[in-house]
Amino acid sequence: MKQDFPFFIFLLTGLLFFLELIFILVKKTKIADKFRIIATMACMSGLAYIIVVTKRLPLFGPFEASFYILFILTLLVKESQKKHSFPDLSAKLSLISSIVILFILALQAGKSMVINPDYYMYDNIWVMLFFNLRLIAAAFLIHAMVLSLTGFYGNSYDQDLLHRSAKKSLLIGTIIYLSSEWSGSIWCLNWFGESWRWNNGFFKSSMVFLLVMLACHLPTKVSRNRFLRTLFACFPGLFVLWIIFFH
Amino acid sequence: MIKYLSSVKFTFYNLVLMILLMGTGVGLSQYFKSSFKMMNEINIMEWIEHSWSNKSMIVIWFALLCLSAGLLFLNALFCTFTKQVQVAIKSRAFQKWLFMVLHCLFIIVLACHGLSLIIGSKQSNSQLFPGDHIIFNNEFMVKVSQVVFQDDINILKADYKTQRGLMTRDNINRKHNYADISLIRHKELLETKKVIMLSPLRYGSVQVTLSDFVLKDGKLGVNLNITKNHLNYFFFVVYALMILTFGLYVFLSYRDIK
Repeated sequence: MKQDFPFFIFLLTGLLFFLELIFILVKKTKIADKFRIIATMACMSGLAYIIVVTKRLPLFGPFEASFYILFILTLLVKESQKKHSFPDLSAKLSLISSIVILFILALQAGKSMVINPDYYMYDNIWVMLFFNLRLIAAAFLIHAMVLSLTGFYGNSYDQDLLHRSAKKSLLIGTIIYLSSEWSGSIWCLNWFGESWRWNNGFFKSSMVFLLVMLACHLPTKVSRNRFLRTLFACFPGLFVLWIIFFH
Repeated sequence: MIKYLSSVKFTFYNLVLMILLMGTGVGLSQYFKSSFKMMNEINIMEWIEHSWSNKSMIVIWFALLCLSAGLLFLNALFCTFTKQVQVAIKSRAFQKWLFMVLHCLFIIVLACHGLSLIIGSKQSNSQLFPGDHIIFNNEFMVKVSQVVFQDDINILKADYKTQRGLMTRDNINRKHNYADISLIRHKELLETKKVIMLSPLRYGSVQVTLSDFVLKDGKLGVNLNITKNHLNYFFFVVYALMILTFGLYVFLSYRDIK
């Protein structure tokens, strides 16, 4: 059960999101929406499995991260669709988010379908906050990527609307990310006696923050360029995905 | 000059440079593990002296990173005090003031990161067994009187990888395992505590941290990191304030974000 269930739930989630994409492409939006709801529920059951087995919230590692991020991402996309309720824009958002979700599942496909081995420090509040908030922040940064990409394929009105939404998501993600880093600094202080250390993790963490800063400090020439603006808004999301799946 | 240093264009190019340098750091830390380990264990000036002769490339990388961070500091400083203050005064909008305060707090956090490299002192990876003591900073004496490990001691005998797998929440209870540690200065007992993992002994700016339990020749001991840093408390408060200000700014200007 412990090995089979994660694999089964991964396949089921993947299949449901894939079917959703098919129905979006053939413009059967209502059926696609239903598949999205069922796929989100499948994702939720994967999440419930992780919580029940580990007796904690998802922390890190591709398997735990992918289900947690996908679950939050689908909720965020749903919320965005409510806000931008024009049928055309909503359909585009479904299409892009569906492709991004399948991309995340494809990244997970090459990894082992196991939850992380337990560690005695996982009962510490700062450790839990550090890892858990980081995943929530990742979902927001990926959400910003989805919105930017959708805007890229839209008309100028859509572009402006979605670029603003993407920036908001990026900023909220950064606040959550900084809270995670703050908790991580306390953990580091309590474990090593210093609030930060020179290592691989520190460089990658700093890069996420710097990439968000970069997206928020674009010179006028760059921000006027549709392609570059989208690219810089996507970088933080792409980079957290790289950290999660190839760290 | 100040105009350029406070511009968004300068922020952009400097951030690109900093990201590239951080990315290089990811690669370097993989290839020069021992050098980076040493970087965390000794004072940064000592590390530079030590590494310059045999690993000058890492020192150059480090200098460039510091330069880029320094430029970011100046950039934020000039931008805040030449542009954002004026905008805040002119508009009188609370959000504009918050935006300026947010940048000020970021400047302080960045400065704390830089200052933590040069001020304070540390003595890392000191293995102490019951009855042992160590002198820190020519001022403090750290004494270990007792080490207790109530969980399965065989876990400590295993190699690193096996140990990592065995150290589960079921097998290890942090509160069961501790060291009785005293901090003494000029024969005066300043503080004594049952130190467990993730709960160090603190006295003012001095911190005695238990980073690991060790088993050597059948004798149980502890690995201690002793640090003194006046900035820690201040850093965490300012960092938290920065996050709160950021949150408040986004909340209040949610509709106006462009």
